[in-house]
Amino acid sequence: MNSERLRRKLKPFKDHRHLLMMSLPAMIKIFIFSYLPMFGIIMAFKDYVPAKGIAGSPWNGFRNFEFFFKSVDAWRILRNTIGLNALMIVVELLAGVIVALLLYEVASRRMLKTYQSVMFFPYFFSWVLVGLMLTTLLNPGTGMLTSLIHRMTGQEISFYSEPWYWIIILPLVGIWKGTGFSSLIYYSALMSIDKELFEAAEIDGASKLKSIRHISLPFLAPMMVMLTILAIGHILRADFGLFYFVPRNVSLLYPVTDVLDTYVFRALTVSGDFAMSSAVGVFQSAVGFVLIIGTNRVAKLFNKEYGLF
Amino acid sequence: MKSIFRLTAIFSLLSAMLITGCQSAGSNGSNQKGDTGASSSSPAASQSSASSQEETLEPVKLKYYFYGAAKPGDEAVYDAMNKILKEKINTTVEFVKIPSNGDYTQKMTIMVNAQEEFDLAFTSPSYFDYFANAAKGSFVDITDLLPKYAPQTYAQFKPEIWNAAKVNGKIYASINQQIFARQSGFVISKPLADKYQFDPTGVTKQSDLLPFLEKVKAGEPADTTDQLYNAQMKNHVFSYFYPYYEWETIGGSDVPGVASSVLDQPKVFNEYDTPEFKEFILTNAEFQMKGLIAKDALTRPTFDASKYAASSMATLMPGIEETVKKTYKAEQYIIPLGDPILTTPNAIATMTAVSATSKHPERALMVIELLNTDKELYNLMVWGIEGVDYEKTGDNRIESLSGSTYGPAPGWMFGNQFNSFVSGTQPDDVWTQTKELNETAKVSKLYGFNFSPDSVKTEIANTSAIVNEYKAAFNTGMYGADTEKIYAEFLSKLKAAGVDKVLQEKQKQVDAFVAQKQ
Repeated sequence: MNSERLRRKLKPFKDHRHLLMMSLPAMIKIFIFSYLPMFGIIMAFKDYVPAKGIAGSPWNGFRNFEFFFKSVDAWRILRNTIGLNALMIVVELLAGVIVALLLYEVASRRMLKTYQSVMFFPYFFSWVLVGLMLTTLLNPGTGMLTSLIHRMTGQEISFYSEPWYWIIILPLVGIWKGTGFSSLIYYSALMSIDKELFEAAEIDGASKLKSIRHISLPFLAPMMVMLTILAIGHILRADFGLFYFVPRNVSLLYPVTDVLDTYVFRALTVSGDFAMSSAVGVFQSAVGFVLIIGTNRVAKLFNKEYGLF
Repeated sequence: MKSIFRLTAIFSLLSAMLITGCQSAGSNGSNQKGDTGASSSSPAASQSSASSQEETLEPVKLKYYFYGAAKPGDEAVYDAMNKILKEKINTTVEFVKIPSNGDYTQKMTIMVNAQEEFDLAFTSPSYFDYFANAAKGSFVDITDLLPKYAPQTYAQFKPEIWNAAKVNGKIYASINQQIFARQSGFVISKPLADKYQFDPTGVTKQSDLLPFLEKVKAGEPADTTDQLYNAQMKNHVFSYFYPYYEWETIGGSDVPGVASSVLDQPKVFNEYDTPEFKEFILTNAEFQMKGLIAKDALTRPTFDASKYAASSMATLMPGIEETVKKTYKAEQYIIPLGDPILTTPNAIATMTAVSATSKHPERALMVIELLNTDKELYNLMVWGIEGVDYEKTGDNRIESLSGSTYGPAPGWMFGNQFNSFVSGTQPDDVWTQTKELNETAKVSKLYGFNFSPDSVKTEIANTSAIVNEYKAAFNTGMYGADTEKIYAEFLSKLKAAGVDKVLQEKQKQVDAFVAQKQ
């Protein structure tokens, strides 16, 4: 009797064992890199002394959190993190969808592959390399772009000492590097649309824009919502590479480029306090958790299908 | 669904137990080993018969961290050193260089926090912060081990000097023998100064260099004058001038609050809220606006040291002419500021610590002892191999060979510099001179005082983060015409981050120290 129930319970696992096996590496990866480190959370509530180990260090309640919330930069960092990330979510979503729609209209298969490869290429560059490439463009005095501007207008723009330029530069770099990848996702969603729909619309006299609005976009919407929910969940987690290596950690740019992750990294390497930095990490994760649940709820209110879970 | 949740919960708890279990077992194990090692070999040491000790020593491998650029000739030199070390104390040392001094603190701090196993490391109040790490337990307490395993090293300093290295009453690192009395100053390129008929003797502050640098800028071809003044953006350049002002840092140079330490009742104040600091940053801004400091100082990957016409120097010492000639690839005028002064941070400016993760602290101390007493070993480390890296020109005098692929390894970073060969224009008695200077220097009233930062940890973390944010831009004058405005903003940020609380705490501890001394 009991074994019968057990067998019935295990049936789905048995039926899908091939799928399960295929996802096993991913599950192991997530377990090792996402679940195991969670025990580090206790470090945020301890006065970590390396010699005593994580378990042996004394507890100190919320004192580690004080470090961040008492810091004069807390407001600036939160503003930059949320502001720039929100801007980037919007801009990258638009860029990805628009490029995907454009690619969809490309008739020649060879040109399509060329466009895609060219746009995909920067995705494989490391942020360190991107940062150095940007410096050869923007460096005061010797940069290609700065000397071009200097020659044309006689003005010397110092990109590395004027933070406000970076509100534009950072999203631009983000798009340049990421659009190839994100447009691919949307493009594959477009590929799954039945071609007959477009043909029917054309026969009915719908313009290109109309068919995009009424056919393509509704098909892309669930994907857009899903990716946005995921992105909003990570809104407090800024891309460290983009914000640290691209502005070359130049302190003059901190008013714009300093985000939670770079701040934690600096605090960690300057004062070497692991407990204080992990407190900020815990805060990031907690807010991310609330955000992801919240956005998912909101998305479901609009349309049951849009929810991630 | 529920059962899956339960399963993961059990799994995670299990692995947590596993991790903590491993950790405590590991740390216990190493502690025990250290203890038994110390107690078992102590009788041998107290008999102080070196030969009997040798016989009982089992082979050991140690890891030693310091900073410097790796060179192709390093391995040959380290092999030669290990031959001596193997023969004398049956020890092999793996010497590991962290490529740049700017990254050294960072790399070592992470290693300590990650409980990485190593044995010896270079430490100082400004690199791999000695005070913070000693207080945190990153280093082995060597108060008792030092006299036992490194008796001659211990004997080479008076007890007062060792007091400077004490944190909470205990010694956590061995002091390197070198110049203690600190005097800072400027170096100026001799060929350029002579060419533009500049008299360097009149220079008493950075702005005095302005007319000279401007002349060079106007007179020399543009591609050699893009970086005339060495701004040293990553360093705490302003602190170079403390000996001149007779100020003394308290507990690490990035933490605000210094004291004028030759006064009878030293007063702690915010070094950034002073006319001296304001002048420092305004001069830098002027240098930047006139093109004397590299325009792209913050983003340029490497600088050409031979292009500098002038530079500030943290420490001048007898024989410095030779060192700076090597660095800047031209003869230099040396301009000292004020009198040499002996303070706690200066006495312990360079030290060697034994890591708390070391399995063989007693052996690590024996290596320290040999670096302090064995002339051959020490000079191998500093100068390399005879005939390959240098040749002897006198009994104790050498000349570096141009084909050398080793070094430079600064003599103050390890052991006893008084054992070093002399070279170039250094006088034969340079080390006697240094010793004399150490003994005759003005002594700070706070000598032997060490700050304990625990009660203002949050404020220290936040204020030093602010100092570090502005440091590079102030050093290079990047704020240009906005400097005064940014300076006001900087001060108000420090205030908001609780600098006053840090100052108060420092004053409190200073007062207690002075009272107890009287």
